[in-house]
Amino acid sequence: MTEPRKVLLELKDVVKRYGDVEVLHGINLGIEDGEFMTLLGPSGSGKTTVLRLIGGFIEPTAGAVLLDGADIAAVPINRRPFNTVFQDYALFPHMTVADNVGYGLMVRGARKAEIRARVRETLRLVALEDFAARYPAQLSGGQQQRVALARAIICRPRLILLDEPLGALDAELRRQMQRFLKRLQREIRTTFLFITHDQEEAVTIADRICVMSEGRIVQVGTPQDVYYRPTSEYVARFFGDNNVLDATVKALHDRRGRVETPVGTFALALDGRAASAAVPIGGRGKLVVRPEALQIGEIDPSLANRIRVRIEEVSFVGPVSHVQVRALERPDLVFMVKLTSRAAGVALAPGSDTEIGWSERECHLVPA
Amino acid sequence: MPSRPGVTAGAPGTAASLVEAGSRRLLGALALGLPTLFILVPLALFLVQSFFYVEDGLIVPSLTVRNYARFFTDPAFLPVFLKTCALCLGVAAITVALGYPVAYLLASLQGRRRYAMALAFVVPLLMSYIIKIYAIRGILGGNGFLNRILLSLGVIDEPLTFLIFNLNAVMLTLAVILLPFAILPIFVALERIPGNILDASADLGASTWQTFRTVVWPLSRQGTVVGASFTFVLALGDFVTPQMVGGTSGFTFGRIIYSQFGFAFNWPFGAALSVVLLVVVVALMSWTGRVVRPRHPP
Repeated sequence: MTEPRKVLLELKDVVKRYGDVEVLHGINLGIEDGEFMTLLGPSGSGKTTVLRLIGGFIEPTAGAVLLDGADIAAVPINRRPFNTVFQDYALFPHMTVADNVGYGLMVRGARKAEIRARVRETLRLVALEDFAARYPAQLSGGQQQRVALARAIICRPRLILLDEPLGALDAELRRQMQRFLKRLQREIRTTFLFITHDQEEAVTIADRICVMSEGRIVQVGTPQDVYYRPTSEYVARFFGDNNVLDATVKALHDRRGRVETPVGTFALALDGRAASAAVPIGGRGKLVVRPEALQIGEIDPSLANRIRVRIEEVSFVGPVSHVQVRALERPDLVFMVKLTSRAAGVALAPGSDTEIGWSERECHLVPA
Repeated sequence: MPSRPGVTAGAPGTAASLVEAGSRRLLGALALGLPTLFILVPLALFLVQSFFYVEDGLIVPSLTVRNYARFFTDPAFLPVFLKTCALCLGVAAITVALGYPVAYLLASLQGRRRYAMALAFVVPLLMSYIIKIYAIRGILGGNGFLNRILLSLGVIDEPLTFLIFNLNAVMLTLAVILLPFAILPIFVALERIPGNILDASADLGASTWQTFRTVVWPLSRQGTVVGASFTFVLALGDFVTPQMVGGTSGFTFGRIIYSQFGFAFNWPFGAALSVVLLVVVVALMSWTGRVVRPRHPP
């Protein structure tokens, strides 16, 4: 998993300004050959701007886009070896599915027989062989999506850019398409740069995630990295309902530490790869505890990190239940606990007092 | 729950619902009746009259096909009719050739500027038709703007006379006046092409020209045909322009019809000629309708 791969595309100090408004403030990012990279961020974070810069639809105000180490500023859109799957598919309404898919080959002057064969092969890849003669308007959203995908992969680009391609699909179809995209990417061994604002989707689909916020990259890493080892409060909050507490580092020694928070002092075991070491003794940071790492009610007696709480709300979400609790000492602090519904069914009455606790290994310190 | 008839507003049989139904019926009658009264009835009267004839300055209301026979046999009429059709095709060709680039330019503008410019090209439609013709006469005439410039530049020694009072002048004037009718439908067609499919075309490797040929043109062809048929039909029925810039050689079918209702005082023959014109226009419109219908479902 950690074998070093060749960097295919690199963004170097890329800045994009529209008039007085700077939308990208110096982006540095390397996309490795063959990986499935996801750009994740809320709308307005600049992820689509990054994609359009790479595609060649817009030019950077400063900085460079490098392909195999060479600047491609002078290469126009239609000469870049990248293809895009647009957010609303952007299929040609006056062409059949086959003509849409074969378009890239047609404009390159490929022979008719070759186009026909490659279109058939590509349509088979996206399971649309029987729809070649249809027009886009005669297809469902999911089918149009696959036509757009087929159209983008047929020319065997070095990089495929996907601009929130699953945004318009309903939840079930979305999950199917996520699995399909992942499989397809492995099958055709092409680098994918996939944009989404959905953290669950990013975690499911990506080899690596690049989290963006307000025109900056805040963290790049594997799904496990950003999920379990966020380097900032922003990323911690972006991934699920993390519990975040103000914390001051009291002791730090040989990968074990103690932090002081408004609801007590807690033990912390540092993960070698985590950012926790970035906060010195006496420094202020944020203690992050994942909601599923919290135990409630009958707590493992070995856990030292505990808080007395009052149960506010128990909501049943199928296999898991979400329990919202409030610290008895500090009623302004609310915690979210996620546990299996079977466990939640045992004596968790709203209004009753109980305890939550967590292991020193399952919490995490990020800079404030 | 027991039903209480006549209490719920709008239920069948109540006074309110009767009024509502009545007014809806009235509206329906108007929507159907007004076009019938003001369009279909006059057309029918015209059609009937085209089968009458004139004797000793009086219209004789007995049916005959002699008006139609005269149109097809008298060498004074059919050639002028065909020449007029050719002229109007020329007008359609010029307006589309000039209108397409203008519409393309308009559609490529961004935001508010696009509509401000589009409006600027449509504003001439609000101006009096007669004034525009006079303006063009002032430019093309023997002592007109164009001649005076050419004379003062020494390009010519005496005023050019082929500029005005002939069919060329009629065609040029009609083209200038009708240009907005070509620009508008083409602009609308171009504007409806989503920007991202142009991006997609470039992204897939197409040059600007390839994108135009394979995406922009196929998606704006319908609007272009509509624009051409607009200007063709409007030019075909026109009789004021040929009268004012056509001179004696610029004789068109519209002028012939006009004269039948004027000094020739032969309304039945004029009606027959108008019916011929109408048949051509309707045929053209239905053909356009077929061409315009998209080959792909919406």
